[in-house]
Amino acid sequence: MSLVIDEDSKVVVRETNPLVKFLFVILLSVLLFNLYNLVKVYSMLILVLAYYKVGKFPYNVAKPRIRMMTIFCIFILIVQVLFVHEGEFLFYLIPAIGFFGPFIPIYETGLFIGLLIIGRFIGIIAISWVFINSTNPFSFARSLIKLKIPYRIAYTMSLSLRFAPVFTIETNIIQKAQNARGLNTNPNTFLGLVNLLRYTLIPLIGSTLERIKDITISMEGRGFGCYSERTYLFETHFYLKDLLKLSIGTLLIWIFWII
Amino acid sequence: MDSVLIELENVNFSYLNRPSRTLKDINLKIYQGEYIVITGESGGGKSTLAMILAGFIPHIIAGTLEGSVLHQGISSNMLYISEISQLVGLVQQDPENQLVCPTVIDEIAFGPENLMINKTEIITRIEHISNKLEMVHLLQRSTNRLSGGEKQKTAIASILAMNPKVLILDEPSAFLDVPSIKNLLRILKELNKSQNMTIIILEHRPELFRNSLTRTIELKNGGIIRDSSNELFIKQELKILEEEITRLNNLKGPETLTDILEIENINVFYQKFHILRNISLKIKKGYIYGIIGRNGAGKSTFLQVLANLISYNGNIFFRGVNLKNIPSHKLAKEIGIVFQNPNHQIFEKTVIDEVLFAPRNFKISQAHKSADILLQQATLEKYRQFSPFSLSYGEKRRLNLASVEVYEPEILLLDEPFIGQSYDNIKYILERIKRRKEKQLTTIIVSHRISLLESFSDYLVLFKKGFLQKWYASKQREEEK
Repeated sequence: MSLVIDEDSKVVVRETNPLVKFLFVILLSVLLFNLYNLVKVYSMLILVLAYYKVGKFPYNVAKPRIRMMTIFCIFILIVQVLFVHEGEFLFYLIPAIGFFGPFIPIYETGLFIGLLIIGRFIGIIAISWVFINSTNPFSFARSLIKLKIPYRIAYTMSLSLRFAPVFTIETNIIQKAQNARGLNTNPNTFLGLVNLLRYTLIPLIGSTLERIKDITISMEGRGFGCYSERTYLFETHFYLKDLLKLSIGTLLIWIFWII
Repeated sequence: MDSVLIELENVNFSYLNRPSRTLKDINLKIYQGEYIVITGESGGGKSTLAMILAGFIPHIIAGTLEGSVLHQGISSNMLYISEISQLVGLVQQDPENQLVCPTVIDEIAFGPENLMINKTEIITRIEHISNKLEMVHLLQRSTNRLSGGEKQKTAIASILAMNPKVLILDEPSAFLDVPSIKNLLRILKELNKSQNMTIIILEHRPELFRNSLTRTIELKNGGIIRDSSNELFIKQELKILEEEITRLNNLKGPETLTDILEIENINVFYQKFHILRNISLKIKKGYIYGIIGRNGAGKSTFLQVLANLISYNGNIFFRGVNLKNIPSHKLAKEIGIVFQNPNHQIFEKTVIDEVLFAPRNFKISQAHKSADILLQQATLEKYRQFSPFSLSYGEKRRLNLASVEVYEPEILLLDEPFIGQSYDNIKYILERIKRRKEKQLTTIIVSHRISLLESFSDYLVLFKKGFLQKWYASKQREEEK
C-alpha cells in the first residue's frame, strides 16, 4: 500500500478495491454452491490454492485450523457414506472373508455428496481467508460507504475483519491455558475435541465481552457516530483497473461455469 | 487559580445489578494544568471514577448515578459523549483493546475524522503529534504489529488528536518496561508543561510520578480518603512491602542443591522471527527465580517453553525426563503457569468450580479442603458461588493463582503477576510465594518490576533480544552463602 498525498491534501490508497475482492468472494461462493461436478469443484479448489502460491499468500494463516477442518471433513464424509444408501452400489467397506462379512455397503450418492460438501466447505474457507487476510478493513468500510451504506454499519462490518486475527491469537492462548490446567485438548482425540469445544466458549465469551466494552469506549470516546457523516483521510477509489479485474474475473467464472 | 474543568458534587454510583455503591460521596474539582495521580486499592473505584470524569458514565456504562457531574460548568447529562470527548480523553489500561484501526495513521486520524474536521487539519495534527511523541516511523505500521510500548504511544496519540484539555491514563505503567515508562513520563510532563494539559493518572504506584505530580488522591471502598497537593502519602513500594520481603528473605533454600530443570540450547522461531536464541540454564529446586528484560525480550515465551506450551528446538529435562516426551496437559501437574490475562484462564461458571477445575482434570479427589483454605486466604470465600467473571481484575488474578496453587505444582511459573495489583494483592502473592519456598517448591516469575523482583528472588535471569544475557544470585542469596 502506498500513501499519496495530493496537492489538495487528498490522501489516496492505491490497492485493488476491496469491493471487487468482496464481489469475487460472493461470485465464487455462488459458483461453488451451484457446481455439482466433483472435477470442477476440486479444480476450483486447486486454482484457489495455486493463487495462494502465486500470490505468495501465507498458507500458515490457515494452519491452526487445518487439523480442525480435516476432522470435520472426515466426520462429514463418514456420515454421508454410512447413512446415504442411494444411487448405484459401489463396494463394501469390509469385504466378505469366508463366512465373515461383507459389511458397510458404500453407495455412489453417499460418496458423491460427502466429497461435494467437503469440496465446497474447504473452497469457501480458502476463498474467505484470501479476502480476510489481504483486505484493509477500513478500505473495505470506505468502499461500502461509497455504495451509500451508512458508515456506522460499514465500520461495524470492517471491525470483524480487523479483529479476526486477534480472535485467532486469543483462541490459541486459551487453548494453552487449558493445557496448563491439565485439560487434554488434543483435537486428534475425541475427548480432546470435546474438551476444546466445551471449555473454549466461556473464556472466549468473557474476553470478547471485555473487548467489546473497551472498543465501544474507545470508539464513542473519539466521537464515533456523533454525526451522520464523517471525514475520510483516506479515500478508496474505484479505478478503471478495478473494473477490468472485475470484468475479466466474472468472465472467467462464467466460462468455468459453462464448460 | 486555573479554571475548573470538571466538578463532581456528592456523586454516588452503583453498577447495574450490584447492590453496593462503587463510588460514595465523591466531591472533586479538577483544574486546568493539574497533574494528578489517583491511587488506591484494587476495586476501590479508581476506574469507575475515571469513567465518570470521561463521561462514559452515565452515557455508555449502565448504572445509577447520583449527584452532579459538570464538565466546564455544564451537566454531563446535557452533553453528548462526543462533546465530552473533546474535553477529556481516556487511555485505557490495555491499549490492545483500544486500537480499532488497521494502521497507526488510521488510528490517530479516527477521532478527528468522526468530528468532521477537514483533512488538512487532520494531517497537521497527525504530523504534530507524531513528531512530539517521536513516532513518525510508526505511522504506516499495522497496529497488530506494534510492541506494548508502541501500542500505548499510539493510543495516547489517538486521544491527543482530539485536542483534549484533560488526559486520563488508566494504569499506564502496567505493560511497560523501565525505559518505556521513563519515555512516557517525559511525554506527559511535556504535555502538562507546554500545553497546560491536565494529566490524571490512575496508578497503584504513584511514586513513579513523584517528580511531576501536583496532587494525589487516594480512594478506598469507593470514597476519597485523601486528597492532597503535597506528596506526603506517597511511599516507596519496597517500604510498603518490607515486612513480606523480609519474611521471604529470612527463608533459606534447600540444604542440598538439586537441578530440577536443565535447559539446553533452546531456540524458538515464530514465522520469520527468532524469539529465543540458544538459551541454556539450570534451575535449582526450591528457589525463586526472577526473569527480567525489556518488552519483547522473550521472557513470556521462555515461560511457555518451560510449560511445554509452544514448540522449540533444544532440550529441557525435568527430573531427568525430556519435556518433549510429556504432553503439556500432563506436565501441568508438575509445572503450573499463571498467564497475564485473567480472562483467558477462567473456564468454569462458579469460583469454587474454577479452583477445582485442574484437580478434577488431574483426578485429585482430596482437593476440596485445600480449595476452601485457598479461597479463604485469597479473601474470595464470599464469592464461592459467584461467576468468576463478576470479580474485579485483582480478584480474578488471586483466583487464577489459587486455581494453580490448589494442586501445588513442583514449579510455578508466574507471568507478570503484579500488573494492576494493589499492594494488598502483591502482599498476598508474596505470601503464596513464601509458602512455596517453605515447602521447597520452585517459583519462576517474569516481571517488569525489577526492584521488587530483585528484593526477594534468589536468582535473577536477564533476557535481552531473545538471548539469556546473564543470570546471577541476588544480594540476599549471596549473603546467605
